[in-house]
Amino acid sequence: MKHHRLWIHWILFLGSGAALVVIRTADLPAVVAGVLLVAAAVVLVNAGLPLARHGVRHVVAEQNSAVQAAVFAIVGSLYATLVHFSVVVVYDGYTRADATVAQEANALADLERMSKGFSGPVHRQVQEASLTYASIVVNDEWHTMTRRGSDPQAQAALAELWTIYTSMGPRDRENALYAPSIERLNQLDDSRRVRLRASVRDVPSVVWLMFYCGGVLAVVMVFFFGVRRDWVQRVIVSVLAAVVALSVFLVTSFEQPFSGNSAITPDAFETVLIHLRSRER
Amino acid sequence: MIALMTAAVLGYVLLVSAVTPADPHALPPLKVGILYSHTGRLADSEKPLNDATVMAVEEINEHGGLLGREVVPVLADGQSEGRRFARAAEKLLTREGVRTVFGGYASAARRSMIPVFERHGGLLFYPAVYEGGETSRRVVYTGATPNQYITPAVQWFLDNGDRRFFLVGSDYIYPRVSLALVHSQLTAAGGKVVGEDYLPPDSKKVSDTVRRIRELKPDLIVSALAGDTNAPFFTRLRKKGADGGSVRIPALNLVADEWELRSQDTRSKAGAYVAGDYVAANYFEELPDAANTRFVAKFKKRYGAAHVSDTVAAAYAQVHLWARAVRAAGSVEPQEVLRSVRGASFRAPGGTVYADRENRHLWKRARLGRIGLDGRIEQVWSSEAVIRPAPYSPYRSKQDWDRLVSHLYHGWGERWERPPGGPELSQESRPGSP
Repeated sequence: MKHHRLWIHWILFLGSGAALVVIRTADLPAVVAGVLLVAAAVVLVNAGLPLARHGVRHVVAEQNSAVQAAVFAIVGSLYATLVHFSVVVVYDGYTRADATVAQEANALADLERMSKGFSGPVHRQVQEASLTYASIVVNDEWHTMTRRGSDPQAQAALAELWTIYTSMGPRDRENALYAPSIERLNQLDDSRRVRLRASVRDVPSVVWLMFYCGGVLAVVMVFFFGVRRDWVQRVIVSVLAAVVALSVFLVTSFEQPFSGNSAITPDAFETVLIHLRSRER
Repeated sequence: MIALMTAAVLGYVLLVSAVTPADPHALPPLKVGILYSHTGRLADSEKPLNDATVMAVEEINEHGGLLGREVVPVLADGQSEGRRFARAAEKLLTREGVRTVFGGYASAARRSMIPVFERHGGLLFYPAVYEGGETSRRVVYTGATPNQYITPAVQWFLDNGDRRFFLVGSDYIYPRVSLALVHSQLTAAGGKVVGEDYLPPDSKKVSDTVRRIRELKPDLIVSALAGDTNAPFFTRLRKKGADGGSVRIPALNLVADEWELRSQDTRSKAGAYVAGDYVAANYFEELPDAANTRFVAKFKKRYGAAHVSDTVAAAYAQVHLWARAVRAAGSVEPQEVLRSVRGASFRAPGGTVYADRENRHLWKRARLGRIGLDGRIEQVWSSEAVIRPAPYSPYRSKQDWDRLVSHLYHGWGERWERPPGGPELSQESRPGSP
């Protein structure tokens, strides 16, 4: 491999590194972000290859040994396990958050439906408070969750629902629907807490650290493999970099369930809202 | 040398124009109406509201005005009478070039003004708590609806074991509708109304009501008495042995401002008579909040006020809420401002309030206070969160509330209070009563 015009490689290396950071933090459409991430990673490793070889030219193996191959296989396997673990964790969190949203919306709809079995004032109160809660969650809280926040008015509407049931008169408390209603209310409250918790949950920093370090190590190891044809080695490191970049992209996409391009939408609440509005007195 | 001096002068001019805020006097002033009673029986209660509004307008001007314009208050006198409020509002909207008015205190004034604002496309910001039962598209209600202070306060007493309630109020629209709501709430929640009396506005003939209370021995008196009736009622009630002997019957006051503003003399002269009674409100002067402390200190220093009431705080905050909406809309046109107000929030003295997207009322925290021997009101309970405003209490249907209001208005000869010398109207049917 020839090491002329190293400064060009330095510029490309640093530029693509900076681009990776920008793409990672910018709010881009999913496809664009994925393509740019892979492209920047490929440029990075291709620019880094001659730099690495130039820096340690005396120790680069001309012939690959069995030991080298075995070490690479171990590093690769460990990294693949880490990637698998991370993807499973974030995707599991994502699907759970999605299920929690559906559960919360269902509990609200059930609560409102069961309120018809109570006296007129109770039914009217529950209907209005449910409508308010669903409306605020859809129109306000969903946007707030992308910034890892919650809406105090949604919390107030939930508190109002609790107040309706805890301040009921003795006749309403004797209603057979009272206990199931309290159960649904608990479910609604629990689901809300889980949803808000999910909106602020992150993949732990240590996992990210291992993720990045593992990716860098795997690529760097390929740098030091002895390959006769330059373009073959470039293809190998490019493929590896693309796979690592796609893994990062996958984990990033599902890391925060309520923000980004793969964000969970409030469809379940919108359905409840349409239903409640259609029955509004 | 001349070129250098010219450059220096030009540089200075550019620098000064860059750092100096826009002169609010450069554009035509922005007139706003401030309409409270300066004369008549409510003048004392409404003067602090006028002062708080003017103070807020001055604060806005101190920060460069609104949209580059100086805000000029046009003061008007409602003379403590609904019809005069309506006339004054009409004059502000048609002759003074005003589009937005801050004002009104008594329900009669608000209800009389609403048709005027709807007819002329103006915008009213109304600061007082009220009885509900209306949602005009031309009013931003910055006081509370009954579910934001009355219902939670009554529930607090139910939760603490009180079951037998005596309702007493002055005979005008606010006490009638508010106490009808309390009646419905108690019926639904397992409480009992043992007696209900309405005294003519400002009447001092309280003996019969006090005697009934003594006989019936309720757990709590829910009072919506206003004006000059308060002093004789509570003095007579609390005289030794008057309320039944050794057990003192506490009272819950729903007209908090009356207590904070009008009964100062009564409280200081006969502190023991009202000490221990309760007040339902959204704000108390003593709230330990930095913004509130600053507001209270400034208001008292400036106007020499003895107290700052719930309505005074709302009258002040609503001007800033309007200013925020005007800035967000980039316009002072009522329609634009109304659109901008919806969903807005403002850090008012005593906590953040949120404007409802649907009904142009504010989400507020309910509070219950107890009057101490020194006349101060100490908060004993607060709702865990702000409460959604419900202009039509769910204890009855909207049609039932409208029917009640109509029954009272027509029964009083198209007035919002019992006419002088008029008989007490029969109570309407109470849905949900056992």
